Amino acid sequence: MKKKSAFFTEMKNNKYLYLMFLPVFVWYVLFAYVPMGGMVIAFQKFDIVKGILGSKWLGLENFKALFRDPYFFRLLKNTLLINVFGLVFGFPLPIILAIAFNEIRLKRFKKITQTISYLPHFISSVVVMSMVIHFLSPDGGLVNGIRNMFGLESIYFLQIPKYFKTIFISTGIWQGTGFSAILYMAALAGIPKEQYEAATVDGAGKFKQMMYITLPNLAPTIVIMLLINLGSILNVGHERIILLYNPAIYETADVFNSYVYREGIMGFRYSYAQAVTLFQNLVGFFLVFSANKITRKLDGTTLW
Amino acid sequence: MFMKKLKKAVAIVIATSMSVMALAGCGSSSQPTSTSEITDTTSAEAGEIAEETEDKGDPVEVSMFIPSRLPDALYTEDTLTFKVLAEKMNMKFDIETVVNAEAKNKFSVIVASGKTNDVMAGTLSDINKFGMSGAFLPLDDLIDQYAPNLKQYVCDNKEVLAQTAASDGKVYGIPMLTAVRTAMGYCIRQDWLDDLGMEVPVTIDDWHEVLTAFKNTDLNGNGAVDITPLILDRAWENYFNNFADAWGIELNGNNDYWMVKDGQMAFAPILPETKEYLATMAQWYKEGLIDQEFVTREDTNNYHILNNKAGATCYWTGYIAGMNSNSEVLANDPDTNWQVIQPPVLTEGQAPKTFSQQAAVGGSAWAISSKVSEEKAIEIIKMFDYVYSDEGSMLFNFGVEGDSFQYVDGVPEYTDKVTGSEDGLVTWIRSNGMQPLIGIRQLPEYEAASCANEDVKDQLFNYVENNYFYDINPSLVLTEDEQDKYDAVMSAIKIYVDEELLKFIIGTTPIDKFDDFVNKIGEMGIQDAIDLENQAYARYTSLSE
Repeated sequence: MKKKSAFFTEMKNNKYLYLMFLPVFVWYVLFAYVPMGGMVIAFQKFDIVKGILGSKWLGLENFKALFRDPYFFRLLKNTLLINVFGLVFGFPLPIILAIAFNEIRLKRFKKITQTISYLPHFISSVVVMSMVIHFLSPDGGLVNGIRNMFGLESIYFLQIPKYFKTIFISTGIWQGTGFSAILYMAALAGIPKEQYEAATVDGAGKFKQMMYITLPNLAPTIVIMLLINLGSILNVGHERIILLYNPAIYETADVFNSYVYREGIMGFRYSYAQAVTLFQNLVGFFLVFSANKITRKLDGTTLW
Repeated sequence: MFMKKLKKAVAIVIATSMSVMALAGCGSSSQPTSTSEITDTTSAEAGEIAEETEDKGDPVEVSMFIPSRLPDALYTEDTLTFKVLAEKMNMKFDIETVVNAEAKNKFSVIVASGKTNDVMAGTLSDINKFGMSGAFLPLDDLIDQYAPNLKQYVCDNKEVLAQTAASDGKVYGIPMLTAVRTAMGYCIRQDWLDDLGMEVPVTIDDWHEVLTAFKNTDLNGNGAVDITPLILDRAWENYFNNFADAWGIELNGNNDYWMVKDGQMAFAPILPETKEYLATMAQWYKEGLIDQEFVTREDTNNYHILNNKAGATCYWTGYIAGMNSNSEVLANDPDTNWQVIQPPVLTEGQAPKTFSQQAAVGGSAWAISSKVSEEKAIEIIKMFDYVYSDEGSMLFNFGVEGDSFQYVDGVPEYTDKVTGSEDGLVTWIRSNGMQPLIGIRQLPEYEAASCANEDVKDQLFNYVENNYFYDINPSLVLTEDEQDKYDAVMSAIKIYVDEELLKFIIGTTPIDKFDDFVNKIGEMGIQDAIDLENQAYARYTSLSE
């Protein structure tokens, strides 16, 4: 009883805040939690005509099929490698960029470079990927054109498995770095000026200020971003992959999401596709959960 | 008020008497769908439409899902053919549509929502799949009782029936019937052959010689040796193993590489002929005779041909023949002369044949939702039947006589309004609801009349007249149970074969690894899939015999 009345008092005291929160709450229930019910089709042989209630139950059959799939380890490897390399090379860049912007003293120059850096984010993936295909073409493409100028042979980049990950990840970096930097810029803006002033008085140079003021202040944001990224470690967006790959380079390019797209959606194997997705998300959840525990122990930064 | 009631009463009498006559006519259980409610129509209007509607009463409302062929001309109730059809059948259509590229998705979304339109157009395989799950009515009995044209063209034609029926043997969708068997043909720059003083290539060795000459000569006169001797289209059609024709095999990924060999289903990639074929292709690729970027190049035919860079191709014959009058092509080289030639053979004297062909049954079809009332189903099947009739076929191939076509010496020809329209004939036809992706009969006259000139027409019918066709390799339909077992082994094998075939051709995997490739497919369980295919093939042949 006591608990209940505390809840009501809280509601009453902050009713306008809760009223403002209501639409968000409803949105989450309707569009995030209710559709989660659909995940049960991973345990069914889902038939779209019969619906969830009329379809046959299979238990864990779809998951067994996934682990027995001869391509399971290849998909796992490709997905993990793309994400791990993506994190290693892609994650620090927005931070460095944000700090660099922060240090620029010419306001006009700062604004222009910042705008240029996040513009690629607004170009559709379809356009970006066809640009990549054209740049890498051995027949008049920019990259091979430059190679030829130095007397090097043309390379058919998109036909050779070993180049795919580099191409894919660097495209992602080019497209996303500027936009991701915005978040860190916001965090930087929140650092009190007094700290820098005090440091200057104490005789700390620019580099020391960065090491001992800027980075520690950014740390919570960095940790949280890293945690969020860990959650999607088994996810690589299928649309960018399928725009760029072809069967000759499945070996390095095929990931869970593109596989689900081909086999599940195009081949009407919805239940199997859902089983793969559920597996990806469980792994992601487990990773975030444990990483969160670790960071909580280390410095108290947590997601929840 | 009184007058209205009286009119209604009269109308009921008329409608009933008419339906009695109709009953006597077809000897079936057909019922009139509703009583007529003729209200304040002026006498002039009534006179005009009297013939059509006086015995039919209120129009039957039919909701339909039909994919549109062009994104900037989505079908509506006022689209020419559907408007005429609705008037003719005394129906009122409610058309839902998306552009064809999105149709497959939309189709399954509609079916999954449970709010299926009365009539649904989609691919025949989807219709059969969902039909067996109960989304669509089996049409066999309805056809038998109410639809003489459908009976004649679908049920009584064994080949068509075998390709139309679902794996439970029932007909759920009325398919589009194709008119011309020609699909992709071997096309070559005849003018360049003449420049080189070479004969039309007959054997694979001849082809090698011709392609090599194309590669090493500056035939397009731009000062550089930059001709792509042979282009293959993987990215769009995914039908690029045409030259396997010479070895008598079909490597068609769109049909999971199945073919009929000695009366049995065979998985083509593991046949010994495939090794020889791949070795040849790998050699051609290495020598630069094949487009080095064929794996990733989209729209390869337009790219090469419009830029005057292609020597030979395997593509839709009518399309390539039409390039001879393309203004962009002629601006580059007014002498451009693409000609379709016979399929390649291994040794001279063999009969040239190709597997690339249109099945009698095209991929599109329409079906009736299982949720409609029996009366409405009868009306709809009659509508389907009309579309298959000679009159209905003229409507969906040529449009309206006197408007979009006229008979010249008994042969239908499009009027100037169509041929001279701003965006060209094909666009006009498609925007006005002709050649829709539903259960129609394409007429050979349509194919002939839509050819730009005599040369295109001759080329289009060349393979038909010379009968350069192998027997078609059917796309077999599996039962639900078979499909599960099939997917369990085939989805992995399909990926492996898709990959390796390309790698053999571009040389990433050397051809002496071919035996390993065959063994691996064996280990992955291909025999199970072969057995399933043979079961399905037995059903298929029993329907077509």
